[in-house]
Amino acid sequence: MKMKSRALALVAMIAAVTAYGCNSFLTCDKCKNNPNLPTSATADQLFIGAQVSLMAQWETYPLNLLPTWVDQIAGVNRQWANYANYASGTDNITSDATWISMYGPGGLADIRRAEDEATTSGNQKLVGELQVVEALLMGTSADLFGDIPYDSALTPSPTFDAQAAVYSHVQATLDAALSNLAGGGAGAAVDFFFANDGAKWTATAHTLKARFFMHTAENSDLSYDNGKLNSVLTETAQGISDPANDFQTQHTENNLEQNLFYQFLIGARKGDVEPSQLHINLLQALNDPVLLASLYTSPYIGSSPALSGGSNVSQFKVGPATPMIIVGNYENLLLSAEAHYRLGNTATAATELQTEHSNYGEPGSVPILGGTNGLLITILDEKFARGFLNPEIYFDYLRTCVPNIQLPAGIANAFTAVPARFNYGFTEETTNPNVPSDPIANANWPKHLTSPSGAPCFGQRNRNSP
Amino acid sequence: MRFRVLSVLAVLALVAAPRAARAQGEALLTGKVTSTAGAPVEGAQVYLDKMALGTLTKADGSYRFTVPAARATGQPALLGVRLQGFKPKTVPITLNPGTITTDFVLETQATVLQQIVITGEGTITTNEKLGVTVNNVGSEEINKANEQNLTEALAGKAPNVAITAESGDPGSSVNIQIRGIKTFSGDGQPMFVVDGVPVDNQSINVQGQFAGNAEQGTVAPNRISDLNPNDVESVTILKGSAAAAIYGARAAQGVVLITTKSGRSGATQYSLHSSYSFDKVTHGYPLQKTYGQGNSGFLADNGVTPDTDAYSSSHSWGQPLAPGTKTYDHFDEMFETGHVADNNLSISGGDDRRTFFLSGGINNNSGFVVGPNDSYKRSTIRLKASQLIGDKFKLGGNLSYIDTRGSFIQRGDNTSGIMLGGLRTPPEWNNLDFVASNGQYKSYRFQTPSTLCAACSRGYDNPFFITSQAPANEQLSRVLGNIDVNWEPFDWLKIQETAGADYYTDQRLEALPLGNATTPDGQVIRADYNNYILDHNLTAIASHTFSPWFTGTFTVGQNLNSTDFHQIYDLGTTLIAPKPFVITNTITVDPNDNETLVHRESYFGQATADLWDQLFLTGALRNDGFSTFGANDRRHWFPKASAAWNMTKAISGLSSKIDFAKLRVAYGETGREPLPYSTLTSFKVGRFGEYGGDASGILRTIYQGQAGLIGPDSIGSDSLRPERTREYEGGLDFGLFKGFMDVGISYYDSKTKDVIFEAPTPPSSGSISIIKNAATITNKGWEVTSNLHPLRGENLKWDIGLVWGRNRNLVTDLSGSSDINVGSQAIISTFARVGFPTGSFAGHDFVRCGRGITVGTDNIDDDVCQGKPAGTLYIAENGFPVIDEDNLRIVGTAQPDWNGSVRTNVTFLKHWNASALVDIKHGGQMYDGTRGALYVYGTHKDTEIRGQTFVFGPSVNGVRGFHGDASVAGPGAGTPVIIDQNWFEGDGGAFSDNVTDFIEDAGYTKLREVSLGYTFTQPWVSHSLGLSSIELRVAGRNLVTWTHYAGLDPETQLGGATLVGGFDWFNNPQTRSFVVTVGLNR
Repeated sequence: MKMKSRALALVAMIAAVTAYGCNSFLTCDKCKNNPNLPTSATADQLFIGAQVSLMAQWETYPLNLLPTWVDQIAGVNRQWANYANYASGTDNITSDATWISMYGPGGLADIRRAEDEATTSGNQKLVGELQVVEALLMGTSADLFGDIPYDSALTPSPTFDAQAAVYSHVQATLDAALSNLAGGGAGAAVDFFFANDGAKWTATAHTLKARFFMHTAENSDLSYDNGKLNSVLTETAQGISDPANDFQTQHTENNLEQNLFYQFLIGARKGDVEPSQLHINLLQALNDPVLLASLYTSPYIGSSPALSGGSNVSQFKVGPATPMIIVGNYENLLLSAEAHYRLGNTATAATELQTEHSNYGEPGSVPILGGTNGLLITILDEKFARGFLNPEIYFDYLRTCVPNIQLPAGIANAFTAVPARFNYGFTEETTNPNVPSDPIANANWPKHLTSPSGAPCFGQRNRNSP
Repeated sequence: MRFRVLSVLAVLALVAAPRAARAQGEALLTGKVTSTAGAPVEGAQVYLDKMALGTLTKADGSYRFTVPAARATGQPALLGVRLQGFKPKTVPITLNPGTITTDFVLETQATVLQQIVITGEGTITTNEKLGVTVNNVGSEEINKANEQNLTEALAGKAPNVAITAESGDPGSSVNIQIRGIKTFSGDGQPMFVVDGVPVDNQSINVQGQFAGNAEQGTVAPNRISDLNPNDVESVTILKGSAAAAIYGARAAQGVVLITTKSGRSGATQYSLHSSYSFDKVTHGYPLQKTYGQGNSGFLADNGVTPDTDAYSSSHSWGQPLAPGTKTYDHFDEMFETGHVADNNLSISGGDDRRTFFLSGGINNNSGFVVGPNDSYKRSTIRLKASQLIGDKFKLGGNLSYIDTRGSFIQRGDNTSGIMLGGLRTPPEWNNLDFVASNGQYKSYRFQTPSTLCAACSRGYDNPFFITSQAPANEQLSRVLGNIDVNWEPFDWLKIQETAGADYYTDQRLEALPLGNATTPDGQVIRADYNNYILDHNLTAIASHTFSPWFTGTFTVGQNLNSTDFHQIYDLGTTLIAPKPFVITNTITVDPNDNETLVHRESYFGQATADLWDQLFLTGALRNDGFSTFGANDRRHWFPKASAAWNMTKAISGLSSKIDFAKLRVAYGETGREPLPYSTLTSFKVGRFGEYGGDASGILRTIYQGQAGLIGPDSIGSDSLRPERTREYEGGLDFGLFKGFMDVGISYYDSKTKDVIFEAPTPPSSGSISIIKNAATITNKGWEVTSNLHPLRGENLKWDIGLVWGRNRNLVTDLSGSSDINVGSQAIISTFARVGFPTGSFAGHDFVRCGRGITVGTDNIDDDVCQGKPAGTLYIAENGFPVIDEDNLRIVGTAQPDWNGSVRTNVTFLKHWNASALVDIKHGGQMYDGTRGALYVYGTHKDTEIRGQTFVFGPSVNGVRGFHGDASVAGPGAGTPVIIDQNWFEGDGGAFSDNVTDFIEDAGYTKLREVSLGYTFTQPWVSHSLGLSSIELRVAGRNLVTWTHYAGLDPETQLGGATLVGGFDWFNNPQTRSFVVTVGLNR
């Protein structure tokens, strides 16, 4: 009897514990659901994420390499000295973050998720706003990398569209955006850029269309396609008409919301870059004292690339809440000025240039350079000077060889020419069999042997390698 | 919580219970145990079989214990004696009241075979029956090491158990890797089990959690370091899958079983051990003292006197210092002699029905970095007790409380790290004088700060500012405990229940004051880490003798485990007032809250068969269901089988020189579970950082009060399975020359399939990766252990232990992916690439012959290299080599060719004991990024050659060769060049893509431990002092290191206990220690 009761107790004990074990032990709430992260997001939440991602892209490495490569800022210390003399920074690791940000979280994937949801809910205006951001991303991606996936993006192994086809697709996206912006719906719940002002989004879309028409206007013989130039003029006429309506990053003095270039200047990489001699001198030559004073401390002295000017150079005045212009009235006017110039309307071109100068509160007028294509060079110099940290200055350089920058001399193993494109990102190269093995860098922008003035173009390289 | 309270009460009740008064009619068992040589045998266990009664013999071999009257009823019983090194013996007696005297004479026997081995989940066996490789480290070996971290004390004790300390800092973690890397994610550490309960061994670096990576911030303890090594009876390492399969899907990286000390019946014993240690830095970096701050041979700032609030040049490429200029040694000045005081008291004892072990220890380490913020203090108290209830029911309780308080130093890839700021300082700048006359803090890059610039970055922090002004504190409270119930309802059945818990709360505060280099507005991180593990383990073990030649056991069991880890992490930036360092004194708070809960439900069974007293078979099967497995594939089986054949009888006629021989073969499978929630796809708050994503600047998608989300980087999978390691193992153990030596040789071959990784997907597809089971890794290796006993005399005993192991690790399949980042290093890429060891260093080399490299349009192999050996350095027209930017090559691995150790122990004149351990690691590389960075800064001694003319490759026409290449080719071969700032800041330094120049051999031979002890047991010890013995010992640790490594120490691990190591980027140094120990025993 005693033995039996022991055995019974034993069986009961094991059975009890086992029963407990089987009872949804493995599927408890915090076991099967992540207690830390949501598994869905609304279109409005994703649009906020995409806006912040866009601001971050425009203000940070590696996109900030582009102004270093064309000497708008001077990389003088540590890694940034090497970037300035092209000794590093052109590999596919450097570009990986940018490539990922174009397509991945905060990029095209989230924008499309949001567009789908906004379309379903009938919020056409929000779809239009999202499409403007999409076109900006994909157009810039084509500028940076050349051929990229767009038609088949967001499928398992996307194929690469020719750069020209991407630009066409971008124009179509902007057309769709313009149509949707004119449609119904409340727009975004949170729009940091324009507070849901459809007219401002519409103007931005037009200026972007003008930008990308200009990017495709050059022929292989370096002549310009008048049809494209006229399209530039059609779009700029409807583009951003006032600096107050510039599409620009939006920051506050609060941490986690401060201008990233400012954070770079004061943070752990302090001292890596200094104001560029070229940029400061240009601002002075172009009679842009307002911009000069807003960017730099006096006296206005800059550094040469890769060589620190030490403590006797200007300091950057970029503050925590300083906005950075992504697409602006200045670009709209100067694109118009360039198109007019190339179409032979030099007087209108000069007028547009001076309008831009005065729109941004600069006193007097821009002194026009003499010599061959002096006005064109002045227009492009003004765009270079005002487009602070905007990647457009680098694309303009590839397209025009203005400013005709001198490469740093005497640096062992430095590149002998400005890199002509970003490498495809490492992750894409190692995962997508469709990546072109040896893409022509920016076929839309043939190499220039001379600058518009007729002088030899010092820094451009063959377009068959990055 | 409720469990812990119950446990405390139970144990207190046991201890407080008054000793039962001896009733009339009890039996007194007494006698003496001697060897066949007539010598008394001390420490032998004398026991009454199946009655859980017994004692240990004293120094004179005598024993004495009583059996209560209620249990001495004239029944027959078996009185047994056992001790390693002797054949166990039992004699039948009749348990009548009164004195029963029984003497024993024991025959010696090979110790190795009879050693009890713990094999996990409540199972034990003897070495004779063991079919797998298990390494055992006893308390004496652990304590002789004088290590404060139990993991570090295992260094050199077992083959293919690689131990690497993060640094010599107090509280730094220690990495343990057993038989190679078998995964791509997590930290690669084995499972730790203390007295049957799985415990936490995470290393949590505050910076590594949410704000950056584990290469920044401070050192972080691995949580096994909370255990007091003095409390540990033994450590058993289940290395391969064949041994560890009983732990199923958590055991792929091996299992470390820790058994704590227990009380024994007999007189109460007291032991007080105190040691004091002096720690000194082993090795530093050579720094130049010839050239000053500046660039291109100019003074700092190109000849312009630094203005207030201006940044000075970060480099030391200035003018030669004028004769008589005062210079400073920026390495030595940061360090002093560290001190560790370690005090431990234990009281243990018991009687025939109960035992107890009570211990307390305080370890107080004031570290070797100058300044107040470098210390670590661990206080532990432990009570382990057992009570017999009736004859067949035994209740045990085991409770320990640990209080750990640390104060750490910023180090590593960190602009506030002391090594980074210190070693980059120009030789003429005085770091010690870091407060300007206006009260502002200055650094060499920010030399004349104004009061308006209190919150400006100092570029790099002055190390003395950090060591005195930047606290980084830890305060941990931990309770570890379990209740054991052992019930033997029948002679043939034993039921065992262990319910255990591991709970800790770990509070951290890490602050950077105003004006620091990293976050100039000031920063406070407040983090709370809460770990709560509950574990239930029920086993039933049945044994039966089927016939004289066949006995067997059968074990079944169930395990339930709940592991909950919760962290609350607040990053406060912009201090409102300079102090206090609390979150409420910051303007912006970035909170993070993260919890993971894992439930595991497992069943296991094991059967053993002992055949003809020489063939021992074991088979086991475990079924694991974990909440971390994909819902579509929830339960998995893990089998094992082994056979051990004791050939001694079969070959006894062959040679009298062979004491014993054993052949063993085994097979087993283990697994590794997916990381929690990797089966799910989630959205998150995005954080976008400047400079590649992890530096100080961040934009967050909770922006201007609005909540934004971004999509997943990685897509989860509902079908995730555990990673699975299948291993074959075989070996031979034999003893020779009548106990003179024993040798064990093992070979293993393991293949880990279904390795989980975030398989990269084209970003243009919308995500970066998909989590899947997709890689295969193999580990194959040999292991040899040997013990020699050249002298075994009464007055002179000499033992030698040899350990040797080699492991070959290869990634054999990545399901089509070309390279996978393994580990999360920012300093150097560590790849999984098919055909190379896991976590190999990837980087660029210079253009060299034999690699099919094209320069311009020329294939150099065809056009330049004819006749030159492969590896010949290509020299461009300018006389310099060119970095091969197009090819990311595997340039090294941290995994060694082999490692081994030699231990020796000499006991002489009864009272003296001397021991030594030499630890050898052969091969394996380290990325010495610190040297490469100091080249860029012009502070390394090697940069003193600046301005001199060399030629790359061998010397030519009296121009000295440079770079060490035996052969060069190319248009510029033989062209003299000036090696100067351009070279070191460019391709010759670590900020370029040049990786190969800083990959160094990190092999070493270390005099790991040396000790000399004297034990007083003379009569005056007991007569005058009332003690049984006094121990005195002097010891040294890491006294000498022989290595070719040019950096700090070949044993360094920037990330601490991480999957992949081998990189040195301003790590804090290692230390050597001198220790004096006094032990009083009664």
